[in-house]
Amino acid sequence: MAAEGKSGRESFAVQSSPHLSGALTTPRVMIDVLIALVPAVVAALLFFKLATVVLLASTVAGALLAEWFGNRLMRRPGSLGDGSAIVTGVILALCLPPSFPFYFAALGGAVATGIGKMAFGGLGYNLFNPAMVGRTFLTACFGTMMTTWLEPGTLHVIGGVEAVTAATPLGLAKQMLKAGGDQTAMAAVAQQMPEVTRLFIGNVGGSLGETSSLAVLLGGGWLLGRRTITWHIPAGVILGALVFGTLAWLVTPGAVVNPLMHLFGGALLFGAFIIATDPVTCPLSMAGRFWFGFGVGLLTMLIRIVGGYPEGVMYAVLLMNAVTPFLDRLTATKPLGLGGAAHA
Amino acid sequence: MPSTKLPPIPPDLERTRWTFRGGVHPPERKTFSEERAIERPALPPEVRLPLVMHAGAPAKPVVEKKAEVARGQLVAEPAGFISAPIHAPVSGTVKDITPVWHPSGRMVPAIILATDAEATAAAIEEEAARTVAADHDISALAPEAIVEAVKTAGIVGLGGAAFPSFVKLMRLPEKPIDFVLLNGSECEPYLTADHRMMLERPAPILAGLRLAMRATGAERAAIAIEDNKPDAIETLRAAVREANVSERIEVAAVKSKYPQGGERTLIPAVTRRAVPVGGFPPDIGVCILNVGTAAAIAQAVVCGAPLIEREVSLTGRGVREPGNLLVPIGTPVSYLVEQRGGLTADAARVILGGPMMGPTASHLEIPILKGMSGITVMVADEVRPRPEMPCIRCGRCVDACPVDLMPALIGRYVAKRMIDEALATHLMACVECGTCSYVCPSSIPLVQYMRSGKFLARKLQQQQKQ
Repeated sequence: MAAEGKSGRESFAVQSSPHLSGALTTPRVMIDVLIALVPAVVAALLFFKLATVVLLASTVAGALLAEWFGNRLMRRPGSLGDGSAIVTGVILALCLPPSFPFYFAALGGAVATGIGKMAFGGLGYNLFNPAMVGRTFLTACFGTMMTTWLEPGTLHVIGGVEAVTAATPLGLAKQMLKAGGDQTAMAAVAQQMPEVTRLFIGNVGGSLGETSSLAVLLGGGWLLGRRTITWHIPAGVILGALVFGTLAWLVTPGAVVNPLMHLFGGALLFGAFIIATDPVTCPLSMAGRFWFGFGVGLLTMLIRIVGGYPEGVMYAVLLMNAVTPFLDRLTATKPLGLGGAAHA
Repeated sequence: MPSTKLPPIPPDLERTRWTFRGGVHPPERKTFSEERAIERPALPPEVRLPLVMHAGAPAKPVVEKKAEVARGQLVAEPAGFISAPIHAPVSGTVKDITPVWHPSGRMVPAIILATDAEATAAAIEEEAARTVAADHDISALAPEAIVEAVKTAGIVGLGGAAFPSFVKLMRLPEKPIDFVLLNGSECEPYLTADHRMMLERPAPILAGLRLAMRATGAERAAIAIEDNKPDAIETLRAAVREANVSERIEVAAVKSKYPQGGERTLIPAVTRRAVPVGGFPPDIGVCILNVGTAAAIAQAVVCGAPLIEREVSLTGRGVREPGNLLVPIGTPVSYLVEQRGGLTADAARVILGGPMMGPTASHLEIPILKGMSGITVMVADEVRPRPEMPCIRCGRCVDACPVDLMPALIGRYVAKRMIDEALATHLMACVECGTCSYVCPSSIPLVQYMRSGKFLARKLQQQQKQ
């Protein structure tokens, strides 16, 4: 505002250019991600009902608590308003099996934000995807509970025995691989495998968020449309997965399920659009992001097909996070006019 | 240095929408003044001529207090090679030679002239009779004569840099020029002076371009205009056709995007040659001039007119009557604002130029300098500060940077005083266009970090030399 200067003439605040700002703010970015997660949450509510609500509340509470505590410890101003803890909590919850105990879910949320983000210095400084840090922690500590799955729609009593457990598509895929050359065993497993369409809609066993590919694609479409994310990471992940998956399938068609099943079963699409696109932990340049995504897709398939786990996204993301500083260096942009006069 | 071959000029002058990688689209906000024809406000009672209104050494006064001067008379001579003379924009008397407030925030020695309104008006009438035709015959003019005329007229870059133009027109054997580019982009929001000039007076612009080609020896040229100014593009294309110079001069319609008008983005967009980092356009055979500068060159060479007035866009929500004004150099901004109804009650920021790159003024008692193309006054609502949040590495700045830098990284290094790392990630290649700060969702003042970083780097260099 113009003020009375010392000599009585009107005086104006002096400021560095630019004096205009684009409309997007960081809290708005977080809100856009939460909106993108709404279809997945709705699908989880439809399939798993109360468990969804309980787990979401637990992980988000754990995350918020850890952030608040971390800020206190570091004597920094509160940052709960930026919404990143809520996003971490929701993503983590969507990665949990519906029968997971809520108290461990809260612990997972606290570890995700506390170790995955606050220990590094808060938003923008963490090297690893916080939600994946939380999930890895829970897998390490509570392995069995993390791999008990429910058939959608079955009654769930927390800690009780009335739920009907089911094998997930990827679990079945793993059994397929283990069956190796045994034709009858493989045929038996193949019988239980849901068709790709059912996988797409999501009416299958799995963690809260990975069941419905349709919901994930809706969310991903929203993010792309809002330009919250660019196509580079999702395309990279899908391409990397397809490349490895198709190669493996061509080499051993019996033992490996078809690549589309891999694409739509499990958390690959969720990873492609929601998890791997976390801006803090992926490379800065667009080229770097594409190769980051490609690595995530490739590693996920490697872990699923050759490695010992049915689910690979979480480890693939963390491994690529670790490689991100190196990728940044490799794919750093070259300034216009550096070393020569040529220009495309 | 060998230059890449320029694309051939198609006969129908229809190449459009060339551009550079990156950039943003801030709101244009040109409606405040783009329909207003250029007009002369009433003459100010005094003009203040700081001896520094061009890049290079300050000029030296050659008049004394109480002396009578005529409009156009030399009042200060250049001091050194990179310098420029200053001429009296009005007829009158030398009121004083004393420091005045300069837009840079410092007090700078200046010649203050008290205006003789009648005598000045008479002089302006006379000048109006001398016009320059676009196809004025320049074949008899030697290149050196053109350069000399531009030098003595005190012509400097009117697009903002105020670099003495004669230096750009000289023939240097080690840096031959083969292409002259006129910058009519005017990519900053709000500013419309160049647009109006291209519409209303295309003839001197074209004549100036032909003179620049003759002086530098360039065989080809282009006038680059953003495609949000189709009327200006049409006007200049017609002028080029009528002057019969279409085989060598074309009007290139470039994509409207900020910062299309920066020389480091415009030159690659039109010629496919990139200006080397740390180098200048002559290094790649290009001479680039603002359209206003070209018109001034024509008037200097053909009519002998020194640079004593210029078009200025006074615009923004904070001015009651925005417009495009033809004013004598040295007119106090406060006087101009008063002539245009004054500022609104909520006027909050006075920008000398456009909102993306313009520096701010803390008060209005500063004179219009040779390089000032606009004054944008923004209101309190428009400049509300946003809290700075941590960088989330979203990459928007990297994507948008028109010179392909990684502002988030450089900004982080500067914030932590890691100047060597900042230099290694090309801090010095930054053109301070403001695109990165504009897109940052965390409202990080990246350009300010860049500027601080450059300052620290120079300090470090000086310390190391000792």
